[in-house]
Amino acid sequence: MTRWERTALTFISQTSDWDRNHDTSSFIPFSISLLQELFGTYISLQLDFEDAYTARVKAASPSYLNELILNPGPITTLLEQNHFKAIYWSHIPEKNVFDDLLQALSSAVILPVKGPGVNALLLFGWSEPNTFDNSAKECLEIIRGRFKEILQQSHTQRLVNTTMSRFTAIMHTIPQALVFIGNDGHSGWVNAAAANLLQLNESGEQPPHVLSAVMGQLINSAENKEIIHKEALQLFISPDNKMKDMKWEIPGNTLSVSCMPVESIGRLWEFKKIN
Amino acid sequence: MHTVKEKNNVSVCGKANAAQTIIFGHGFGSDQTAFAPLVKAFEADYKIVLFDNVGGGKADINAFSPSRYSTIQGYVTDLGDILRELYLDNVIYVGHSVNGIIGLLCAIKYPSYFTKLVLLGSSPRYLNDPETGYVGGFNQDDLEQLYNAMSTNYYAWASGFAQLVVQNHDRPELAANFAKSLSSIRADIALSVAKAIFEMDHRNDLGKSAIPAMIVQTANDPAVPTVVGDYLLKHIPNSQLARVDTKGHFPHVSAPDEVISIIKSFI
Repeated sequence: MTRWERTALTFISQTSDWDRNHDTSSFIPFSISLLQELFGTYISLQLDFEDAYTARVKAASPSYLNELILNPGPITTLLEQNHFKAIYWSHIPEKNVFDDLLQALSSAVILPVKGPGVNALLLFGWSEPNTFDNSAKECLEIIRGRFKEILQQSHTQRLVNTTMSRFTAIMHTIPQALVFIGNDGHSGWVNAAAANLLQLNESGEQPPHVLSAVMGQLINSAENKEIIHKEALQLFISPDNKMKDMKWEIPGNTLSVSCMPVESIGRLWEFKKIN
Repeated sequence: MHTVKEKNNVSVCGKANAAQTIIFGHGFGSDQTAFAPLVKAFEADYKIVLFDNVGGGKADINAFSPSRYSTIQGYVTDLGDILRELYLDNVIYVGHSVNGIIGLLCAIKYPSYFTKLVLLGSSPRYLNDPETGYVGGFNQDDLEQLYNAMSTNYYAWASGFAQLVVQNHDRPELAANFAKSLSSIRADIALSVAKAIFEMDHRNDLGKSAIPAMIVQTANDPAVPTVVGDYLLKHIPNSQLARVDTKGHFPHVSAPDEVISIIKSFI
């Protein structure tokens, strides 16, 4: 087994379950520092293309390079000329787009990592010249593939987290009480106003049986509970049925209650206080 | 893509074939015109390069990227681009406020271009750091209030902030000029740049510069306490400190003759 094959194997084995057992955001710093050790590089970093004006250095070793900003234009041109394939410099060209980073180094590898939501490259530089034979190239391609996979997953995770935070913040700000009960029998969700109305300790995810129980209590406390039960029976005859602006006469409160199907995944209840 | 000259509204004047070049870099909310008295004093003997930071002055507003300028490293790259595009060497860099630190970081990155650094009212960190006892002049609450005031009514904030930092109340035109240039910046850009500046921490970089530096402070700078000048002096190798007998954050505007004299004796 060559040095490069050993490196690829070690890298894969040490990062194979990272996406399941660790936070993906720490994958890049970990793996870059691992590769620095395995390759014996002087410089290792990720360069993120954030927009047309910004290529930011991240997870760098030496760490003082972190947060440096490079102009993406010339680097992108180089990558395009090489059809976004890995670039192997056994001897670093005298004039190159990484002049700021590769000063006094002899050899380097540039691994573009491009895919949905990911536009970055990995840069490794050595103080001594290096020969990149087929075994080296194969190893670096395996590593590139693994990075791409994790970066994409990390991007998706960030996207989901951002969307979730935004959605939750909006839902909790709405003055109407909202209760979602999923058709699967496992999922339920209430916003802050609904948690308050139903006297639940917290908003957010709630098991459907808990929601059914507290909504049942609310109905039983209503002065017009017989009418409500009757309308509810009609409502549950078909999953597509809806109910709009029904009055629930709760002592001290009149609620306007609507219930609508949500794209075959459940029902959304809306409660508005009338007085 | 436009050139760096266009992007940063670079202007070159003075003695074209001079052996040395002086670059003036303005601080937050200001622009290259703030250096007019200094340019006049040095243009006969030096090549002079002036520029506007992207987001301020007459720099190309379309080149402002919140990402690139989310830290001052974007401006460091811009300064490096100017040095290279104009083929400059033997540079004496005079940077006001944040541009002093931008110049210092650029000199660490490209030491061969620089011969001297002059830091006017500069600070490596504005936020106090109770853990290390570092006094930067602001605490987190101060900054939150500042950002809040900037977001709520930018133009009213600009006017008040200008009076606060320029001082020299007997010469109200100085604060009025600064308020005018500050107000000409798009409010969202000003807030973004202010955050990048007030939240930076370059204390660990000070010791990496090998270029002789002159630190210039006023007797009473509301943005940079005098202890910050002492801190810079202690941590920048081969540095000197001069205190100018004026108030406010703009020594080159409120006491240009004294600043000119300090720079002349230093270079």
